[in-house]
Amino acid sequence: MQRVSWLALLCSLLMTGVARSTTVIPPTFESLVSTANTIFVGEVMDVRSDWVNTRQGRAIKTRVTFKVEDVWKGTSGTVTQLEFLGGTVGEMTMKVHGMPEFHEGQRSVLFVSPNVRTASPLVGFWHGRLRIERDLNGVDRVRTHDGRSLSTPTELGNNRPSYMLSLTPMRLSDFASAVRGRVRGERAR
Amino acid sequence: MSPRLRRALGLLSIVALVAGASQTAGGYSTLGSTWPAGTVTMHLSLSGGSGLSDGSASYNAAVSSAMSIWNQSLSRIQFAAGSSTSRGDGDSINQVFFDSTLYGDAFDRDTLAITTEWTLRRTQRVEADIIFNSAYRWDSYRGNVRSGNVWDIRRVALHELGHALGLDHPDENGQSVSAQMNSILGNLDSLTADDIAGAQSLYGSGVTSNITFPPRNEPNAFYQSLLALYRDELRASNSPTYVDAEGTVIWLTEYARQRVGQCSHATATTNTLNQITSNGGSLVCATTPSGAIAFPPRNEGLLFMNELNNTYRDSLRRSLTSSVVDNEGAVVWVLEYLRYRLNNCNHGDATSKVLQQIRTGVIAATCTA
Repeated sequence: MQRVSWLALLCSLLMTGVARSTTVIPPTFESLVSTANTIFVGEVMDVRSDWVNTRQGRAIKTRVTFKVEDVWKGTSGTVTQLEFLGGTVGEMTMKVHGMPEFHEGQRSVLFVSPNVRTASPLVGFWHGRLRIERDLNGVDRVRTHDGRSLSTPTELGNNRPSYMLSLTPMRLSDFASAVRGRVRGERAR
Repeated sequence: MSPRLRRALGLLSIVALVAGASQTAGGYSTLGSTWPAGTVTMHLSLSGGSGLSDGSASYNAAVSSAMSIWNQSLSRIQFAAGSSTSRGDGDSINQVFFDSTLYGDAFDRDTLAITTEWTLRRTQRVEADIIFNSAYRWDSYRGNVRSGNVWDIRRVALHELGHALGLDHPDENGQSVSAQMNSILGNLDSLTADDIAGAQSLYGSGVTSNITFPPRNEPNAFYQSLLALYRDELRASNSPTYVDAEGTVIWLTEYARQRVGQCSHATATTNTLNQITSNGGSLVCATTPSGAIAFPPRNEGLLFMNELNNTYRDSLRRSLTSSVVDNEGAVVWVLEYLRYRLNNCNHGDATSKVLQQIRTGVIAATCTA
């Protein structure tokens, strides 16, 4: 699946005429925060996939249950569910390319779209999921959806090559401060 | 983990960073599943498309052209165009069509097209549907992306057909290459060498590695020395694992051999795990260029090790056991031993250099030919 950012396209055309590159970028940090209806830190408690009937046949959907550790924007109960198109039932797997996949015990920061009736309920399809990992010293750190080290929030949407990124991801607590600061800024406007 | 070991691993990350940079010179990514050999029929029911800029007779013709472009690089399978107009998911029929939703769910507002993939036992592809978002205006043209919200259906089809083949986004897998398979739509309107190499890694004939790895007993002997050092000098505690010492060495070595043979992390992982579960072949993706031999960054080695653990647990049904060398240590030091071996060090020198590196944190130079 390929995605397009209208703003990026417009900017590239305006700045360089018919631009050679950068017609598309993933959502920026600002866009993720502003578009999300809810932003929370959750640990996957359960992942269940089932066949569903669609108007064009059948498909597999996966319901992911999260234990909500912290809510940075919007509201959420202590347990919440999100539903994603695709999954595995028995030996059959249906996958929508780029759809986030979750496993029990994984912790993530999730930017939930206002329209949860999309194939992915996250902002920017898969970009609205950031991975949390605990380092050897017990500090929670943040990686992008595809496992890249995130050293500052502004790296979101930059799509920089992995060899240009820091090997040490930023602390979850620092990322939380950045998100909360951004949310406060939005409210102030 | 002892401070000494942590310091050594930290210093090694600098090496890993350099190695990581060298891996970006080329590197498609794959999804871990392929079609059986033969014809993959894509039923095209994209209505309309008269007067397209490149002279294509219809949208179907433009997508058919994209299939022909891929076919030029495929040996074991070929795309063929079918004409069924039915639209169903989960029916083992590959369909290509316009729609405003994805099986009833809304498209993300920035999504041009989507490919759904159906696989049996996660490895064998049985269906792929490509749905173009009918909310957009489509044409078929070459050159830069045009302004005015008109999108080139052929280049998007090239990308989606790449997913249908089993290719992933290289730019989202740590690679920095020019590729139609990158996640970001741009002015590139054709396949690149990296796209073709990716397709050929899945459906081409493969090549025999031009690099000689050490005989199996030598990495095994190194690992025994590593176990002794962790146990006796570092006094490391046991860590859980499903992979025994011999399996760790054999399959990390095979993963390294695939990586040195120009396979991406995903392809190397797939090729190696296929050898474990289905006696897959041992060909690599391409010959290794002359000069210093680059090794994969340690985070990718660790990802492979995690997959290896899963395979031992789920496919081989191995029981949980333990080792004084944890997974991270195994990955870092086995790859480091092999790096020395492939850069002109004999077994004794390579073992000595790695063990000394753990003790002192100092990274010794590789050997000269």
